Amino acid sequence: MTATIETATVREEPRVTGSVTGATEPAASMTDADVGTAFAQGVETALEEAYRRWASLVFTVAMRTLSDRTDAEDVVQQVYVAAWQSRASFDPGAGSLPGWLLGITRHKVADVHAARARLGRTQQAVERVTTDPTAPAPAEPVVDKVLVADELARLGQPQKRILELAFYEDLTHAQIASVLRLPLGTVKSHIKRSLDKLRVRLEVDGVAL
Amino acid sequence: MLHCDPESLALRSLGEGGVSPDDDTHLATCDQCQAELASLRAVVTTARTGGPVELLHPSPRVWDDIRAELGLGATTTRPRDASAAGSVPPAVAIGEHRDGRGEPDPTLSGPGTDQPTTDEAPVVSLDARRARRSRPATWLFAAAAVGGVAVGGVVTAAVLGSTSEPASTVAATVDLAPLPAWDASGTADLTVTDDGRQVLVVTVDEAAPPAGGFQEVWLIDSNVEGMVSLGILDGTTGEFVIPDGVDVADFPIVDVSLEPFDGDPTHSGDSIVRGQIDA
Repeated sequence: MTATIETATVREEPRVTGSVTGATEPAASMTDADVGTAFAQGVETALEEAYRRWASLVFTVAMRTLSDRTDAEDVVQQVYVAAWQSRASFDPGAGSLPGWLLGITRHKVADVHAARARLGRTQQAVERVTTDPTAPAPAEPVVDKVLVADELARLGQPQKRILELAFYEDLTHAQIASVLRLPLGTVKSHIKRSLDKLRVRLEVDGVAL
Repeated sequence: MLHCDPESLALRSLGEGGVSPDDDTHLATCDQCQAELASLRAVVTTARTGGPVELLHPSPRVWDDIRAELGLGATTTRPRDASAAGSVPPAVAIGEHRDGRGEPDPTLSGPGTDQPTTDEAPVVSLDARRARRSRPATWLFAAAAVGGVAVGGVVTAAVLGSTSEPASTVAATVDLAPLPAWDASGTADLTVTDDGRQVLVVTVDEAAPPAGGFQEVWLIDSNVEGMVSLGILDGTTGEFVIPDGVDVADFPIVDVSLEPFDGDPTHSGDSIVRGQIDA
């Protein structure tokens, strides 16, 4: 036996008083709004859940604007630390937690840009961007694009695949139905509902970056 | 006044014409339907502009650093790893290797097809598949870039005595998290038989069975450079004897890939789920 066996304590999560238990299941079943409310109340597992749900959003936005993994990870850390420390100023009734986190992200990303300029590293950054084939066009609405990707991931299958084929392969609903062997009506219905979900997500969580 | 059929408007927002001639005449005069269409078109434009975006994941130490900075105390649980549900895994933006423009590969996840040999989708590009296969170095780089530790999975419980076979003991359980473009999850139980052999019991739960290939189980090293094939996963569960001489401490990453029927014995670079045995 060569693998080190971690004991059962590995599964143990921080026990924090409040409406959120340490167990994964209840946290996973919370709505985004529930997580936001618990976060504002200082429930520690809500921070954890907020990280689990939205760290990839923050990180992807930072990566696409900074094109540097270290800088982007620093931004993620700064965003979550700042958010937790100023959680009292987050009003769950006024907006979504991910939208608020993305707003903080915008400021932290701007800070990094400013720091780079001060350090004269702008040229390096530009070089990184131009040599990175995945780098976005400057005018790209980065946050909304990332939100679309995140919501697509949340849709599940076959909805995600249907929308990908419609968006990025330019297939008609009839072609999609044929490719995926689904009834026409099912494809149409999924397209309609999924577009609605994407629209709501962009309205709730979207910010201009 | 009868408004446009909502589903037809959705299709129209994607650029499909002629879905409902009756709607054409109505749409020309209805502000409400025009506004709805414009709103949906804005979503479609956002999604399409610049192509698809690959969600990326910070390395696990970022969460540790956040806890440390906030003085919340050490924890061995990382939220991203704690549950694969609803989030794409840490593991390595394998998708990044596909190509820089991030065009989705229709062969990656074709739900709804339950016959693995039906690759008749008009959009399937065999060239693209070959290109993917021919760039293992890129894949390895993409994987290595996030570091071996970025691979998700929580080694959980030790002995699950009551549920394990009498002749073997579950030594570790690894959660397998989906790679981008996959909607799947799974577990890998590392068991040790009474005679000391290690057996990996892999279970994969997929939203739809992978089409156009078969599933292969691998153990991969932390640098994502070396790997050992354990065999073909037929169905959703399989048991794989880990050969003597293969140390899971050296190859801690459990990986299930989709392998096309191309006769190439190397890893396709198309991983479905992954997890890491914490050694």
